[in-house]
Amino acid sequence: MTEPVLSVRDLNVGFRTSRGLAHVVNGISYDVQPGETLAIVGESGSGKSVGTLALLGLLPPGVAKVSGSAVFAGEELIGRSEEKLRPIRGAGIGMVFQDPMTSLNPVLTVGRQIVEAVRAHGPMPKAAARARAEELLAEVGIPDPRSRADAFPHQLSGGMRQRVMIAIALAGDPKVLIADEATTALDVTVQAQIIELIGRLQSEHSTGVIWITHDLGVVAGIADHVLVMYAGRCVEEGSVDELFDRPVHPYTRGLLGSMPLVDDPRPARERDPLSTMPGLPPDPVRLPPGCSFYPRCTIRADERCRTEVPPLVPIAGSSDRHRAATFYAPEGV
Amino acid sequence: MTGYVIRRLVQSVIVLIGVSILVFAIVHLVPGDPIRLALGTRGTEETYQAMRERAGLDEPLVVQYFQWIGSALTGDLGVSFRTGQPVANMISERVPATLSLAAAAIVVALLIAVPLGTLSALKPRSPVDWFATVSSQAGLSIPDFWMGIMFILLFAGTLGWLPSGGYVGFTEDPVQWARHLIMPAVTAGVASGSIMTRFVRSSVLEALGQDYVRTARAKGMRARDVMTWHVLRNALVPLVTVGGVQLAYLLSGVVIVEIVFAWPGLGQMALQAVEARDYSLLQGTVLLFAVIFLVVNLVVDLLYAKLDPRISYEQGAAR
Amino acid sequence: MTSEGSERRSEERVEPFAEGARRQARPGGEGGEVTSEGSIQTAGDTADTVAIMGEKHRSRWVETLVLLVRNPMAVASSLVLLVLVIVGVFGDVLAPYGYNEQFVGDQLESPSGSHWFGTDDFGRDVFSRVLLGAEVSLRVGAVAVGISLVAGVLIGLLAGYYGRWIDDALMRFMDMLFAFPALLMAIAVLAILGRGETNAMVAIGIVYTPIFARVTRASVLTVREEVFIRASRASGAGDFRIIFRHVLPNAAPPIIVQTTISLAFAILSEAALSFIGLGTQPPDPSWGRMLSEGRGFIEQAWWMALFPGLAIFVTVLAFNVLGDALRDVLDPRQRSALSGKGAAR
Repeated sequence: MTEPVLSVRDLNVGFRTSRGLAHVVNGISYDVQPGETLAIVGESGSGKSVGTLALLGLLPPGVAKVSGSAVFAGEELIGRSEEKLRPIRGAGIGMVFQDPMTSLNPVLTVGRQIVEAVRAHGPMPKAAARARAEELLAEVGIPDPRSRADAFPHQLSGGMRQRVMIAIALAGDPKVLIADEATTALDVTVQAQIIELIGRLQSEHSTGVIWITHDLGVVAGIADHVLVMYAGRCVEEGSVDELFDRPVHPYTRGLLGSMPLVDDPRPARERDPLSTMPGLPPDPVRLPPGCSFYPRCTIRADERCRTEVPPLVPIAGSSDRHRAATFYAPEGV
Repeated sequence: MTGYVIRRLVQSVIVLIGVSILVFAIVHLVPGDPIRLALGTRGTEETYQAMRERAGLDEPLVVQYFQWIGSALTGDLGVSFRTGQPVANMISERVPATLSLAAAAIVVALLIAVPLGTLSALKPRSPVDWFATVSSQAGLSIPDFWMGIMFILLFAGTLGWLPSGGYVGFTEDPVQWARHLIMPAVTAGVASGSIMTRFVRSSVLEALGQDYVRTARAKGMRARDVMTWHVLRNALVPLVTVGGVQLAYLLSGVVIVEIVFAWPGLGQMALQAVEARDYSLLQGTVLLFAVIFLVVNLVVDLLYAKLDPRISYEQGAAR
Repeated sequence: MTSEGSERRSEERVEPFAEGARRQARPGGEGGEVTSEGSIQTAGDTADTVAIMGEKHRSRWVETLVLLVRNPMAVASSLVLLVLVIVGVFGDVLAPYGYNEQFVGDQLESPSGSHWFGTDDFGRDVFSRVLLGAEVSLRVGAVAVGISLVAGVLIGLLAGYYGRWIDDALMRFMDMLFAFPALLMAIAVLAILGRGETNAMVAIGIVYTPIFARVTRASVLTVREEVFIRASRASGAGDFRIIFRHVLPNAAPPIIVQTTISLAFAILSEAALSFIGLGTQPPDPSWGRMLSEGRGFIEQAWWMALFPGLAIFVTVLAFNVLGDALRDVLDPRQRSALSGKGAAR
């Protein structure tokens, strides 16, 4: 196995709130290999975005409390000063955000916003940066890049805007690309185009991709390794095949619709797995002492689940990268 | 964009016509004969008749209005009922003083609001933020005429640093012009500065939380550049609109500040016109203020549409 | 949804900003504030929302009062205003001397044990005059705001409720009034009506009418299409009944806030008008008037100008602070910020 380009260990993120510390990310660990795609899956509020924003120090400084380790290209990211993180942002790790409408500055032309990204890492004459920006626009498949560069974000379609976001992320030639719900706001055909685009760029530059999503359909198509998050914890991880073929954790299985959910008379194909799971995620300020999923769990095994956090352990009969955090893995998966 | 400009122009013209009717009414709402009131015991019957003739007060009201507005459009605002001088001349003599004061007051307001509002947004709930909140509340509540008097007491009286009032033309002596301008400008600018401080604070705070600021940071831009191009650029664009509308408030303040500092501007003249019952002069001054307000607001709105490319687009879509 | 409905909605979306920006202009009011927190929504917010909804059965006004009492600024400003009202009502009893009582030979005395705020050029006790001036200030302010409240709310209700050309005509008229600097317009009105306290009330009342019309119209627009109003319209209730029984009470909170803040500015305007000699006439003890008299003696008797000005400042400040606190409580967006929870969403 090659050396991972990004290695995260025991990452914790807390937010100071008026009611106490909200534990949003709790002990997440993963590796990103060059050219590979890691998918982080979870519902909104599971901490999946926050965990990656924390790597680049993009969380509000006074509010967020980050601990753990994240080594990128041999350098520790956690605890770095703003100025020391800056060279990593964009040039080391690029980000594509969910909503390209709000993620692009409405009062600056898209060309100018790409030029900013190009010139963020070292001096470059304006004309050269502009030429590079047009090159990037062409690379992400925007026709007539010269005139499109002078467009304002609201003058472009949603898909075009997301391509611009990708162009911005690529400007620094990053080794890792984080796509945070990058296709959620787009309609299905455009979604497919964007996925294809990122896949193509990934193979050309052998970029490691972290794909954050709640859409399991997307994950199945593109991911190599999958990490399922619930209430800030990793509840199960494994290769995409292992996870889809032999889900172990009740939450994963619920997501995949492979086990019947209570109180839902509709046939499985009509259910949206994320919205029909009964109950709500726990309050991150008052996490339950045991398994976070316990209150919603359909197995509701016993007292131990309520009082003890199940560790993330390898699953018998799978590869050692397939691990789940449950005391009650179903027999013979 | 063109549609927006046209719509905005039409709107302004309608309001302007209404404003002119209101202003026209001033002379005609006064109980009694305005020219006799203005002349008082002075002036002969001939002067009275001549002025009445000149003002066209014997014509039907509608004819009078169109005569008045027709000549106003050519820059003729009639003659002072009191002195017989052309009102337009009397006004234009006063314009530079009021303009210097208003412009300087806006500068003062911005110098207060932008740094203070930005700092308090960057550090919410810090001592700076607390100071900004308290001082803007106080600045908004302090009577400007009282503040002016206290300034005179302190800086002109006790310390003797600045002249207590009066105006020196810029072309005559720039240094004296500036020295005379400082206290009136600060007095007139504090209230607007206080309102704008709150606006800048909430505007910057809002901009800081925007996704595109996160994008800019994620690009690896310098913190300073993110602040300039993504936070302040976006937060201060709406300030242009507030700045424009602030003008009405500011001009209100200018009127009284001129009186406090014996500043020979339009506000002082308007009050003198009232005291002398010179209704034609009052009419001209009030019209000028209203026109300035409307024109500045029009310019500001168009400027805003230029600075924020979404505006004309959204408003076009909304209507 | 009909095209008319969607059009109106988009208009409302544009409105709050325009309204906010405009309100900055005139004394009284400003755009919404944004909170620093609340940008990160966590699952905890959901739990809070549930908790808050549980409290909903308590009357809105009781809840408002509870929140106000918890705000030290609101309590402090209310206390100051209470003292002012007491001084206004019982000034005759509290003041050591009469407002026009002259101590011959004691002119321009500096503050002392017998004259706390000194004496003026006629030998009158400045402290007594400041105390007695409270009544003038509060009365003129209250009557003036009363005028603009009644006129503005009526105009705003008609414009907002009936819409179409009524709305256009009324609001364009308000725009026209808005085009004049407040003080200059008051001066012009007084030029026509003649100087004096009563006319000053009318002038100030006219000046602050447009802002009430705008605030009222904006909130009427937001409640007009609510289900309960559509329902009472469908059940055949008359417009008059709907407007005063249903629309007005639900549009009330911003109007209350505006009233408080306008009181601050009306008092300021009264002082300004009296200062330039158009408002309250001598020998009545108006703070603005005292200030302009004191101005002539600023070198010899600073106390003549200092204390009346201080009185105006404190009064205006108290109304402004209370208005701000009320806005925090009555504006739902602000309310959620105040209790630190995302209750509004």
